[in-house]
Amino acid sequence: MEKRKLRNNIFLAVTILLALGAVAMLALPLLRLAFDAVTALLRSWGVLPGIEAVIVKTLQVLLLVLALVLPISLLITLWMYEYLHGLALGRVQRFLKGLSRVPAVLVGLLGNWLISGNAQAHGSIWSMAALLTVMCLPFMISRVDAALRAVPEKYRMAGEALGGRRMAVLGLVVLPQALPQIVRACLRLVERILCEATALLTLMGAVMPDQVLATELFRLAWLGREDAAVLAFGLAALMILLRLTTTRRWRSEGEEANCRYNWW
Amino acid sequence: MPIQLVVEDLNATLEDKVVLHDVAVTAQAGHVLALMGKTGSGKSTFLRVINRMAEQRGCVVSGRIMLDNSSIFMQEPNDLRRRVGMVFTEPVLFAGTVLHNITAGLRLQGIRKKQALEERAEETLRRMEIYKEFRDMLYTDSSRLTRGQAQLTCIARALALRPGLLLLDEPTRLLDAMTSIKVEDMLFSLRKECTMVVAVHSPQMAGRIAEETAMMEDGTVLEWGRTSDLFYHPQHLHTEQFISSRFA
Amino acid sequence: MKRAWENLMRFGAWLGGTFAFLLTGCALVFLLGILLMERASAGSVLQSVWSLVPQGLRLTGFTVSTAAAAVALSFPLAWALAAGIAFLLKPRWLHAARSAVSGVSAIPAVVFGYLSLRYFVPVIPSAWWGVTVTLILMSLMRHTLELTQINEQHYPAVEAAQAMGAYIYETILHTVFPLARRSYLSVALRMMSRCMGEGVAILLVLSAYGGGEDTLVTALMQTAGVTGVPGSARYAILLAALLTALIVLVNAVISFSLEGGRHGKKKAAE
Repeated sequence: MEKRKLRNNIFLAVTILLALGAVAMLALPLLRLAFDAVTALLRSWGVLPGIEAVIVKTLQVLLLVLALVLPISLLITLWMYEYLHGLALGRVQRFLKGLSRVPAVLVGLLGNWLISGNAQAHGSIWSMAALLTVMCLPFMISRVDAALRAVPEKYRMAGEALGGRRMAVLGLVVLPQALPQIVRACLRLVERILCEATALLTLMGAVMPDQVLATELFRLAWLGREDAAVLAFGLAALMILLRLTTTRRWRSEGEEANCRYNWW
Repeated sequence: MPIQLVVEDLNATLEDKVVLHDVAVTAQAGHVLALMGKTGSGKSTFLRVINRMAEQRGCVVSGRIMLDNSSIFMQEPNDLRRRVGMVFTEPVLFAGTVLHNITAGLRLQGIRKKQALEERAEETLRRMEIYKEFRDMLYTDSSRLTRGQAQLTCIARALALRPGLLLLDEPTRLLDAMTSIKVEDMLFSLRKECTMVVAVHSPQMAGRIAEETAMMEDGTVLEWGRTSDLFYHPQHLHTEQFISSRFA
Repeated sequence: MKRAWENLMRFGAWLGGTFAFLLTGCALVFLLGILLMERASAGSVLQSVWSLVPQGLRLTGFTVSTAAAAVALSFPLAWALAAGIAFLLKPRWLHAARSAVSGVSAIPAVVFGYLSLRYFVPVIPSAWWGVTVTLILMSLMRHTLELTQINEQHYPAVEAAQAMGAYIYETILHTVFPLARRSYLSVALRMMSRCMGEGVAILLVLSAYGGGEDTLVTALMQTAGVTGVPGSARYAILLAALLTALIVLVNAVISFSLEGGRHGKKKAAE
């Protein structure tokens, strides 16, 4: 019985891997084709030359920051949830709120000083990602912490009444209840990363070409280029679409029904 | 297998306030013990002391609480709660499907195999005689259930762990009359499989399902015994008033 | 007199309660200052900083005045829009209106700056008004969402008042305002904080006015060399200190307006 089950699992694993490979072979070229088509069209109109490099750099910075911020913020929040209570918790929460209100220009200036000896670092993905990580961590920790604490105590009690240990209850009961709020926080994080321009410009210390979308828009507007309107429209449309996904998709049925009172 | 609960000289304090005082009751194996009393009489606290959840909220407990001749204080709280299930007044459903909820206790204790979980869920629902009703909704999102179905799911979740003792804190208070009767019938039919201690919000419920009843007031047991004796020959004035709903 | 003293004491307590933020802000500025000064030219640091104070204060005045004017003008507009959505709109339009408000609030600041540069700056001759209009636009787009959420939280109270025969303006005046006034105040202060901290949009707008006027943030960005030659390190320290002090003050007032009020009610109940 065990051998048959093992063979079955191996078969399933191989089939799934092959299927995923097939999907990747079809989807990736199609996505790349769409990307090349749009950029070729823009190039043929003489609009936004070099936008491909900007989009790629933006995606690289976005993925890097998400890869850093998400696990760190989750770990810190779980630690806070388990070990911080009362006054200490209040102080840490206020401190994090305060940190997230530090003006972006000051963080950018500090970053600018820290890399002032290295000319190449000013426009590098790593320095941008590091800056955005430092800026976004307090915000993300506050949000995830609020999401976990918004889960009513009765869920935790019900999990404990079933004999579950603390971490099991946290992982299997509390976290799934808080998941819609955490996903919303992640989407807000993506918005923040894509929209940030002040800190990045201050970090770079100059208006450089071929950086991220927000700074590229600033550069084009600063130079008085007409195609800045195209980029502005595209960026605004992207952010609106992203926000509309949040307001619609992650609402539960109960919230849908109770629309007037609880819709965000 | 049902287990016997013996409580003697139970005292509990919470933030310097005495919440339970000299409580002594016995729930025989396979019987239903009802706890009657007005709001704030200590019924819920008593239930939470038995599965040691009150201690986690800062309650200081002293006395003897024996489950089949072994003290609850000699057992790890998590291990204790595998033998002692609990159902709350308000149905608390976790995120996921109905099956997910029924098997939540099993998964919390490390049982992850899908087939084993499905078998246990089916067995539990059959014991409760509600398998036909729930068979087609096992993979439905739990947020779609009515309140009555949600409470039945919570009871199934507790019973899936095959506890010897089940503690129920006013399980039908938020349900309509018809659903309440259904739940009471189901609990009554399951009493041979596990001992139950039920905090009731009305004396009628105690009369319908319990072999023994204890009348509580201000954290102490005024009197307890066979339900019929308590109802027809109450020794205490407050017991008589509570049963007849007459308050001078 | 006694009440004023009590309020002052409470304000002091909450100002002290933001000590962690103050400490971080000052540490940031101090660290920046000390390390930047190592690259500065020879001469007495304090003397050089003192000579830049009038310029710093002028920038502070420009920043605070434009932000305050923007909040004063945009708050009634944003509130009216939020109240319309929350209390007046028919249910079938509600979801579309909320989605629109939510979507618009996601638009980046650099896009606002570009919109203002392209459509408002050509018709506004003065830099002060150009900046104020940009901030009004940003506040309207960003904060209508928050005000709508606050109004919607009090919708049950509006229904209860209307069930007693009150007109909508009576319910808003006598039911919603008393319940929500602290939240409105904190939104207004957050608007102020955001307006004072806005950088890239204002930099774009000011570029059309040929220089001369700056806010604290745009001046700081220019000292980093964003639009040309990097400025003096001492100037950056002074501006950063002024900006930090302003932000801390506004955040302390936000905390006081939210939590100090609750504390006051608790004391009254005792």
